[in-house]
Amino acid sequence: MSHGLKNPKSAKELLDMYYLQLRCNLLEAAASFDRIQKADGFAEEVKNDSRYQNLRKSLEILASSSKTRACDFLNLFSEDEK
Amino acid sequence: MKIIEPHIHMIARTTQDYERMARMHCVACCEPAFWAGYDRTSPQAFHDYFTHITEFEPKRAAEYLIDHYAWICINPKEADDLAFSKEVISFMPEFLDRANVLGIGEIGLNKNTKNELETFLLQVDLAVKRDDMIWIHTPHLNDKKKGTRLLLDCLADRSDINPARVCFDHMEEHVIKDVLDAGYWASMTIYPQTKNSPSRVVDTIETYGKTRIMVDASGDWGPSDPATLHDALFEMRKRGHRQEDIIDIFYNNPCRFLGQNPKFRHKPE
Ligand SMILES: [Zn+2]
Repeated sequence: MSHGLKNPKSAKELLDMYYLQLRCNLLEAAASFDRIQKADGFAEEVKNDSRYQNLRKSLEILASSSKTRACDFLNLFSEDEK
Repeated sequence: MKIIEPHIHMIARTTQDYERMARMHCVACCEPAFWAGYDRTSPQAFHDYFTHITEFEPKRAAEYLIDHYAWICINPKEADDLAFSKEVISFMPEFLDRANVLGIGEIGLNKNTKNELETFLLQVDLAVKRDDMIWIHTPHLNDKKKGTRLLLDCLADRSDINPARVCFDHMEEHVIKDVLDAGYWASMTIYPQTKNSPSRVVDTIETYGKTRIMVDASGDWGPSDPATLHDALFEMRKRGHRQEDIIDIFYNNPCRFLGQNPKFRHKPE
């Protein structure tokens, strides 16, 4: 197995680079959850939908301190991982 | 710098896309055979399609100084009818022998059914018999991990396959390690919504390195754009990666993989 390519930027530089994009992506997720929850039929039709439940579970992955969050996220949404 | 697009369905794109690709220094592109957006009603329709991607597209690309290459196969989405598949496979050699055809692809799985797998294996057998290279499509979204494992398992049993001549496409963080560890090439597809983003592609390169890795935009009829390849290239630049590493990923590696077929005429720099 080959070695990776080291990211030349420091953590602070990366935060500077991605801060606004990351803030935007997370805010968009927050607003999307609000939108779905406020709409008619949320409790009856959406709360138990496996897609919605996976999206909610993915928030735990985001909040964790794992260094493989993207991979963990994709595994959560994989058919044979259930 | 020059770049190569290892996977794009130009049949679904306008001439303006060739023009944009040329402006972005794309010198070669590869068109694997795929689903038409609807199921073809006869094997003859595949014959027409193979003719299109081996005759018409190379001419259209040449207007923009782009070398157009193709891969020939019956795609996984239409591979569930075995009799139909066998008929298409029977006339594939005529196209595989053409000057711009690099091998058999994109074969693989769509819904991971038994017949899809059987059609996949029939085409692997043909590739082995002819000593052709293979381009593999892995399933989308929820089915990707299971499908990739299935494909890896059924190829692992075979001593007649050289992994260095096989590429698994549409790789993401949860499947790429197994593919690279088994000695295959891995390509990552950038789509606006599904598959990868430019920044995640660069993250994966930072994790696994540049050996046997390619990036493609897989432009087709869905939300996709040839320019996403260049977005990934620019993302590597923004992060301060060395120009030689960028050239390796976007030009030299495609030359190294595709150049295993002598019909591919570009060489690593
Ligand atoms: Zn494709």
